[in-house]
Amino acid sequence: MMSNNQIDSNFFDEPSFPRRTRLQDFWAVFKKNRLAIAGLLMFGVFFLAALTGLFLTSGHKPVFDPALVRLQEKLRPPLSKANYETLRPDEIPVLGLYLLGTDDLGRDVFARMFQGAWVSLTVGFVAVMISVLVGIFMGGMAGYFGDRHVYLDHMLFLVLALSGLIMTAVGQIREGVIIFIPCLVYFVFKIILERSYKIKTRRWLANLLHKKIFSVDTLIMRIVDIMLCFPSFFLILTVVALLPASIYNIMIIIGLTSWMGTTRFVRAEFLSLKDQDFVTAARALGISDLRIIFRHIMPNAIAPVLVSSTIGIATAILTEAGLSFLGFGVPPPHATWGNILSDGKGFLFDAPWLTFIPGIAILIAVLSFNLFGEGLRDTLNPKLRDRV
Amino acid sequence: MNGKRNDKDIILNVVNLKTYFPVKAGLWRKTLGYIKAVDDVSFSIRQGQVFGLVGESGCGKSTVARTVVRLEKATFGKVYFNDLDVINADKKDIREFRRNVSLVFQDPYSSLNPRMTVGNIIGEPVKTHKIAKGEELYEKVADILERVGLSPEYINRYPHEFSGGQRQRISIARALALNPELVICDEPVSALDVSIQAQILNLLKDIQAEFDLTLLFIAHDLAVVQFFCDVIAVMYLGKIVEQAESRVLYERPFHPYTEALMSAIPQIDPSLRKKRVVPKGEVPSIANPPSGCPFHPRCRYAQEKCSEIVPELEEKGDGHIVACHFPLSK
Repeated sequence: MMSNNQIDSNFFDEPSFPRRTRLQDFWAVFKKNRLAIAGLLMFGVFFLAALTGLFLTSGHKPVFDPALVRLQEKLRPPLSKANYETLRPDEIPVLGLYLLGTDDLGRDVFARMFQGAWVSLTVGFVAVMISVLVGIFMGGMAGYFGDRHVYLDHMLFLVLALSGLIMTAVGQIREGVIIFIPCLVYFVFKIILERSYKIKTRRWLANLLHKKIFSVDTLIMRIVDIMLCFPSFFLILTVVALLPASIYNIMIIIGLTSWMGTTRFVRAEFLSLKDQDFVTAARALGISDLRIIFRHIMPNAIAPVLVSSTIGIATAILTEAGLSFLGFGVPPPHATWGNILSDGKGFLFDAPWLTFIPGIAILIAVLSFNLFGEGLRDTLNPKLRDRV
Repeated sequence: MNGKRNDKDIILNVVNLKTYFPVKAGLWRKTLGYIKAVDDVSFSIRQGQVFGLVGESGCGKSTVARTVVRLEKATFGKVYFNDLDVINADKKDIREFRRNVSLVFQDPYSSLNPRMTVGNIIGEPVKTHKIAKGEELYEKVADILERVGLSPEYINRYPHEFSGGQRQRISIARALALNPELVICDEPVSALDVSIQAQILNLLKDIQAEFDLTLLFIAHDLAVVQFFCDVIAVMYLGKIVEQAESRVLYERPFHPYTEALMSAIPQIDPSLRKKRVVPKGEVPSIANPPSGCPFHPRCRYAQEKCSEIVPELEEKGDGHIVACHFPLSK
């Protein structure tokens, strides 16, 4: 056995057999892509800034106080000196400078940007992550399992069971349980009898409802159409109005109202890839559906999703800004890039830095992620590797 | 049928296989009719045999292959692999079946996943069926690569770095990775140019001998099949019209369609050149096949009976079967 191992390790150490792990392989190609590395670095800097900002701007006596109002110092341009005569000692900013100027209430824009970075970046990322995950899941289902059928009884009892659950949650416990229990019984009955004992329940009453109504594809794509019918901003407004204002709610809601584009992308890719020979080959070799989806189709389908999601981040940051502006987003004293931007737009000619600074920050964040995303796409696609 | 003689050797037995595709149209997707891609096909393949299935494009050759491995749902009929009823098999048996039967596809450009390395492409089925892993898997893949005439150095390369012939070798390597009993080659050389075709065919031939493989070889080129197969079945519009041992079929085709196909094989030696027999007209639409013998509108020997009665397959001795009312006799 020992000698055998010896031979093996020699065998693989041969220079003609370069054997690297996936990650090493990936990194070796990725690091040649200068733009992508620049994007990654820039993004890392932003992320670190956001993290430090989180600590330096919060607490009882923060180093940078984003909420400190100095009305006598309003609309100061960037890099202007603080006026020591009119300020109390504890109101003087770090270095005695307004690095990025002050806004219409004399608040230090640098401190506000610093504080807002974390919220804006996380809103952007988490929201896009949610939307991409939901989109890939729905699109993948529609594309891969699209030709399977939804049965009327399954639909009906599922909807009933869900409404039962909601009623219970809302408070009408008795009615909710009365609706929920029979549905549960129905499913358990069907699954246990049909799967385990192979008894056909079809003969009985349930047979009347056991009809194919439409395909999974139709179901999912109609849901997408319905979601797209609503102007998404107003959809978000409606939901936000019902829920308590918090950053997490905003992230989730933005994510859950923007997955439709991704779904369409992913579905289209899946449809065209599903009938390719390499997928057929995988099926014929007995490779499981899940493995086919994640190892064979997904890597080939992910590129457009990756690129569109980088733009999605910008949209999410701006949507958050809009919501904050209308008072539905992050509650006012807390700064985000979005609400600095929208607060500043009234002073576009008097104090252009109020709009340009957060705007440029968003631009750079999005650009860096975009470069990273494209680099990732090129690296993941072996055919594009040589062009780097 | 002819397979009944020594049942023990029979590895694949296809009985009255029919695969119909519904034609749907209109708002309610009403089924207007069926495309009978495979219409009552029966054949059996013995252990170690190379069985050729020929016919022009669209005659249902590939559908037969796809139905046999259950990529397409059979409308009617049975497929037995050894003793396994493939069409009604449950998940566990199908898993076992998939281990023992593999496919080689026509297009080497779309049959390999562009995002996977050669090592992964070949190794994945081995891993999925838990035959080998780790170093053992690596060695196995390297070994198979060498068997198909590729250097094991290629193990970390991607498919786009290879030429068509090399890709087809990778495809074959993938099919061999599980040590299958039956390999179904769906026009494995049609997409390659002639010199490469010969290489791949020789490779298949060598491998077949080496592993004692059983092959179901699908092609539209009789010249290819002649070189390669023990038994040949000729398909036309979803039906098998003639089946015989390769040499017998070439020496003495009974069916006019086979005769026409034979005459299309290019002959180098001018003295062997026969007169070209070109069937009249076009292949009829498979959605709307002619009555009676499917070949009768194009057959130069057709008589009235041919357009009325569908000819049954009849044995003419030596396992030579043909479906024709007026088989050729020379």
